Amino acid sequence: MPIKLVAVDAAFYAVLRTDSAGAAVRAALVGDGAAAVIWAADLKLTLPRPPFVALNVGPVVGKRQDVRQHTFTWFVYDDAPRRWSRIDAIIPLIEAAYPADAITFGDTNIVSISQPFTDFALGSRPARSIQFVYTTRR
Amino acid sequence: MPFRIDDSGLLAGLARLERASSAAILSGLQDGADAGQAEMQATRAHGDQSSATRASYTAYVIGGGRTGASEAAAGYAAAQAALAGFQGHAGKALSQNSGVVLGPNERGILYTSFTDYQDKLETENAAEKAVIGPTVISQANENTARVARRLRSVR
Repeated sequence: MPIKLVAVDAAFYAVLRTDSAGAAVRAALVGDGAAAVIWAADLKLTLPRPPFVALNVGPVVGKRQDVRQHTFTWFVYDDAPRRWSRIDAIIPLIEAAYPADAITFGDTNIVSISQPFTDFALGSRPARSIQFVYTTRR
Repeated sequence: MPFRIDDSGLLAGLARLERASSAAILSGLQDGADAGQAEMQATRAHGDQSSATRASYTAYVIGGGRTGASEAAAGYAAAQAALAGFQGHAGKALSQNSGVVLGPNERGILYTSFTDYQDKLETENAAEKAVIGPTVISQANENTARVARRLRSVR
C-alpha cells in the first residue's frame, strides 16, 4: 500500500520541529526554538524570530512500478547583520538530523547545499538551503 | 602456416554501432530537453507580467558537437522581445556563460531562462516560484529512461 504523501511530508517536517533527532537544530534556533521551524507556505504569515528554517516540499518523482523520490528543501534564514555565520552552523546540524533511516520505509539522502544567497522578498535576509531526497518503494 | 581472419567487417560494424549509439543518446536527450522545456513553459509556479521568463524557458542538449548556441540565442531573443517596452518592472533580458564544461564524451541537457531575475524566482520565499530546479528533479529519472529507449532501437 503506498504511503500517503501527507504522511511523508509530516514525518520529514517533524524531524526538525519535534523529534529528538532535530533537537540540536532547535537549540541553534536561539530566538524561537521549535516555533522557528515552519512550512515555507507560512513565510507569508508572521515570521519567527531569526534564525529560522522553512520547509519547501518539492516534486515527487517515479512511475507506479518504480521507486518514488520525494524532494524536500530546508531554507535557513537569518537577520542581515548576522550574514551567514549562524546559517552555516545550522546547515550541518540539519544534515545530521537526517540519517539514511530518518523516515521509515525508505532512504533519506542529502542532495545538495546551496550557495549563500540573499532573499530580497523576505527583507534581504541571508539564506542558504539544504536539499534532501527520500526514496521509497512504497 | 599462420591463421588469418579478416576482422575489418567486425571493426566497421563496431564503428557503426558507436556512431549509432552516440546518435541515439543525443536523440534521447533531445526528447528530454523537449519535455523539460514544455514543462517549464507550462509552469504554474509563477504568473506572468511580461511573459519574458515563460517565453524564454529553454532546455537544450549540449555536448557531442552541440553547443546550444542557437537555442540560447532564441531564448534570449524571446526574453528581449517580451521585455521591449515593458514597464511593469525593471527586469532585463540576460545571457551569460553557463559555466558548464563537459568532457569530450559527456552529454547533457541545460535548463535555463534568459531574464536577470530568474535567480530570484528560484530562491525567494523558500523557492516559492522556482521552476528550473523542480523541473530538473522531475525530469532526471525519465531522461535516463528516454536515452535507454533510444539506445534499445539501435541496430
